[in-house]
Amino acid sequence: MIRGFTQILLFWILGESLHFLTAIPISGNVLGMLLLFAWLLLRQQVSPELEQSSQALIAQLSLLLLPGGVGLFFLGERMQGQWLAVLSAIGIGTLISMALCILLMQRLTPAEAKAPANKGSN
Amino acid sequence: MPRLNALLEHLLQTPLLPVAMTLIAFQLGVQLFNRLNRPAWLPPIVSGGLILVTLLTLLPIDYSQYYAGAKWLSFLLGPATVALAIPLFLQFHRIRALLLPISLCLLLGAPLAAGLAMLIAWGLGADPGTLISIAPKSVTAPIAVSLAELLGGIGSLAVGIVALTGVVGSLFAPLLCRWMGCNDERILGFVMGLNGHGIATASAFEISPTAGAFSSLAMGLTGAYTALFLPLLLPLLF
Repeated sequence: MIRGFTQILLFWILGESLHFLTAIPISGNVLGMLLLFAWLLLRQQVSPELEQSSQALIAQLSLLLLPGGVGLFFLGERMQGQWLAVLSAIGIGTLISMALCILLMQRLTPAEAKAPANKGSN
Repeated sequence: MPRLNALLEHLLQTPLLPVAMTLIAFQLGVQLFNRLNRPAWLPPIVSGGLILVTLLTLLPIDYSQYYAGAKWLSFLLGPATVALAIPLFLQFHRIRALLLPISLCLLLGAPLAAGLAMLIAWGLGADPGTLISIAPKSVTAPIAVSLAELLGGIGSLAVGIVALTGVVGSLFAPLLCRWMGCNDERILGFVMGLNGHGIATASAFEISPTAGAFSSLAMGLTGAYTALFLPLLLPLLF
């Protein structure tokens, strides 16, 4: 558990350093995630320790987000007159983008579904 | 009474009270979620958040005092974000099953989700800080917070927007899919993860393991991809 957690922290430090040194406009923790993902792709396996630690952290994501998230209710005047815009963007925007995604995937997926049939005729 | 106030001040000098309050509120939220048969419209982050806000309003504690202690929990979002690489890696092989639809839907769908929401909010008069906080709405929250703060948005607002987007995605993706005559669970899962990140992924797993797996894949890909294109594109708009 601690071993996996340490590896995660090392990748975070790596990401943070890369962000600081190169001014890449991606935050250090996200860069750390991308670097770890690239490393896993190269190695083609995850150690059980790393998997265990990542599961433990990810299982608690909602809890970890609460302190920042409730700040939403204390934004006060900063958000005056903007809630309608925010809620419409979430509601309408998400519905339209989901519908378009479904449409796009439906259009493109049949090609894949035919593959087994082709195999059968060969 | 002055002694009670002094006690409160004493308890706020370390992260003890804020951290305990957060844990209590969250567990009450989880209990409520389980008692109501795990409704998609009230995930623990929403119910727990509302309980925490109620606690903070009832007690004479400022949000800034609370956050000074509770930020120790937020610190763990750093490693939790890095850890997202592992489920992404574990689901990555599924991309082969539907390589073309997945990559095209991701390439177009993720910027679409961000762009449409920003366009609607802009039309209704949102200011730049709010627009930036809306942009990562379909991305898993830890990445969304990093993105919003990096680009000049508001982290708290981004968390709230992301949570609500997840609820909308969980509730409406299955309805929309049925209505559009799509009965492929891989598509449903992928669309849920792309638009509604972790919250919709949790619901997708309740639909079926296939939907859940494709939703996790979509969540990971959307997070990684949005983290790459948003910082490059967004500065062009403001």
